Amino acid sequence: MAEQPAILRYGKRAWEETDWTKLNPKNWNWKKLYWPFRVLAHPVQAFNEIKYENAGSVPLSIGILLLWFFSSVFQFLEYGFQFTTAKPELLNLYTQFMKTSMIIILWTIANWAICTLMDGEGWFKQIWISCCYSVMPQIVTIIPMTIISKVLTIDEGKFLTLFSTVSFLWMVLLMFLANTIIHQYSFKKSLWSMVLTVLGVFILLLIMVLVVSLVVQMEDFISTVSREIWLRV
Amino acid sequence: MKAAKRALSIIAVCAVLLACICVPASAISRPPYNGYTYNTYGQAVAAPVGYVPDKLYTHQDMGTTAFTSAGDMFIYNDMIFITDTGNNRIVVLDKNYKFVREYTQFVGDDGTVYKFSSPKGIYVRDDEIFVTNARMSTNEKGQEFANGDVLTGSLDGKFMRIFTLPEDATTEITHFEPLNVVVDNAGYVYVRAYGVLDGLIVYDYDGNFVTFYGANPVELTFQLVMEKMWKSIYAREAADQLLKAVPTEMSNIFVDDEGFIYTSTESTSVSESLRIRKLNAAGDNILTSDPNALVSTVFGDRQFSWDRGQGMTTRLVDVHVDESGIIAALDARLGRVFLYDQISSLLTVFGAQGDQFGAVEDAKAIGKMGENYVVLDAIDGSLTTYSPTDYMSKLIVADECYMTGEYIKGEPYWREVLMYDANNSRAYGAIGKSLLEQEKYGEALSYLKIGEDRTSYSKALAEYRTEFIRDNWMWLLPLVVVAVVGFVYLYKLIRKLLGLTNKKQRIKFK
Repeated sequence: MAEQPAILRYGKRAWEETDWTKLNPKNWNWKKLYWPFRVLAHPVQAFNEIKYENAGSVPLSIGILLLWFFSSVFQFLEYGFQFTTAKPELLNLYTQFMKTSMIIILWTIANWAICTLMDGEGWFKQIWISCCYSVMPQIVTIIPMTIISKVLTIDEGKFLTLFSTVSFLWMVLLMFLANTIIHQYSFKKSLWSMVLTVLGVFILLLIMVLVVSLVVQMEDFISTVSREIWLRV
Repeated sequence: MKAAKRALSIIAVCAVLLACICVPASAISRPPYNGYTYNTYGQAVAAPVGYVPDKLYTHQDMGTTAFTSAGDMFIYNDMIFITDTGNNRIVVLDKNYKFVREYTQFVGDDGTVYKFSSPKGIYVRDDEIFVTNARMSTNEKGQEFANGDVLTGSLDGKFMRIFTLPEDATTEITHFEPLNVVVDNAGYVYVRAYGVLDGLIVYDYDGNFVTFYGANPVELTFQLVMEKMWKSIYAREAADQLLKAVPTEMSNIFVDDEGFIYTSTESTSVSESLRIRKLNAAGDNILTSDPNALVSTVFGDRQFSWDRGQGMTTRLVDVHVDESGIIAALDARLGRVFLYDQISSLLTVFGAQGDQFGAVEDAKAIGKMGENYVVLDAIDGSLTTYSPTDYMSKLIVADECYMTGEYIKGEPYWREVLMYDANNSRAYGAIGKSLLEQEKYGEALSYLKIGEDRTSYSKALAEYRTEFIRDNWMWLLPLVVVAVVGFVYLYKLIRKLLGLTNKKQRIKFK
């Protein structure tokens, strides 16, 4: 019997090794719902538990990212009229996605790529979960802020600015702690790896732009050639 | 029988078609332009036509000989003064646009004759006519140069004063060709001369040079920075060859009733918000912009079309300000007149470029006769008058009330404006302000939101909030208490469900 292609072999193995009983809600560990909130109050312990006790959940982290995206759309549409010039017809879901969830996706990839080279101990899964959980400050502030903004005057709007700044700094701090704990870095090395990760994000963006423009040109070329052939034949 | 019926029906159809063609043109006449305005986001939106062409006055209608290139027009005490540059004369019309007299020269008391030479700018104040003359001549090298002057004379043609090339000017002027002249309330004479970039030349009453005034600001552009850098590298001789950073030349000047000087600039190298300026005594621009606007002020068109590779950007050649402070800016490129109020918000746009009735070939000057605007066509010296529509007269009254802060008085006018133009966002804002003043906060909020007035919205919201809490505290207060208590209980319930009995205990995952 001829050997099967590698992709089929690995696919088959992955299929067989997957624990499908996890899909049954009866087998879900509902306790994991507590960890996103635990990250807010006790970040160091929570990230340690995510790393060593498998307390994080991938579906939950994807849910958090989507929630961030949806709440940012909600903020765009419903923010108090006196504070924003945004109008529903100016909403661009693509831009909104790029501003929120896409940053975390790119960050995770870049962070994994950089930190594997920098003796980081984190797995991709751990980095992904901890980064997504670090977004929690945004999720718990955006929606209340949007609702409160509807009843505040422009002078009182300074509180909102303060609120959003604190929430952002909180998120950055959580990202830093996650990076330190997941990879078991020292303070200095963690900082350094984060700077490199930012560079990595930019490189990823550059590659994305290149690929997109290449694909567009390819598509243009193929369509032109096929049209020519179609017209001649 | 059938054939007869068919013939009859054909005749009937033909009759109807003929009737359609033969309806007199005036009955279905519409101006050769569409009304539009720009919204708070700077997008062009349709609006009713503000001014419709009223009448066209050619030189035959006026009762005079043909013009050869008209230079400028000024309206003084219902008399229209037009300079005929090509024929070296000033034509005076009465308020019915009929020829009264013409000047070709001023005669002094001692019999000296001061002939006009290519007169361009004209200005009249206190029965004294100011006219600028070019006096072109050729020097020994064969180059043409001007040694012009500004002559003033009385209404009966007596010579009064002369203003010549400023001798003690700080910059050397070899070609002195005055183009426009105005006089302020203090009697100072402001002359705009060709190629003089330092600003307007100011003379005192006796014709002595005082100072330069109100030059356009030099803007810091990338090109300028690069030039500065090269200048520091190059040798002195090479550096002198480079362009110098000089202010942009103005295209016209106007002085309003209060004595403020307005300038217009046609060049595209000046910022779009400085194409019209209102100058104070120090020469600074004091024209404010609408605080509610979300985009910076642009005098002229924000969006422009392309015609045979040429961008139809606005080229403002004249400015007029009426007694209520409404600024009319004349665009020669497309023959359009833009009306602004004192906070630089656009009221209406009218006029077109072309040879139809209601369009001008080469717009040169604008004036106001009663409530009609008069535009001078430089090519044949014809005048086109534009009269306000019903919509515009309502809008002008409404805007005047808005500018003076009488929001309640202006509300009915704004509501009438809304009947014509339901998209007028300023109308909603103004009505909202009126409602705010009348303490109808809830209603004001919805109007101010459409009117994009964020400051007033915030004020109305503060009042509405207080009112709401005062009226509803009976159930708001228990609601808050219930919410807080409920939140605490929910928190405790969750901890209990997770199996945490005391505070110190933390959740175990495994």
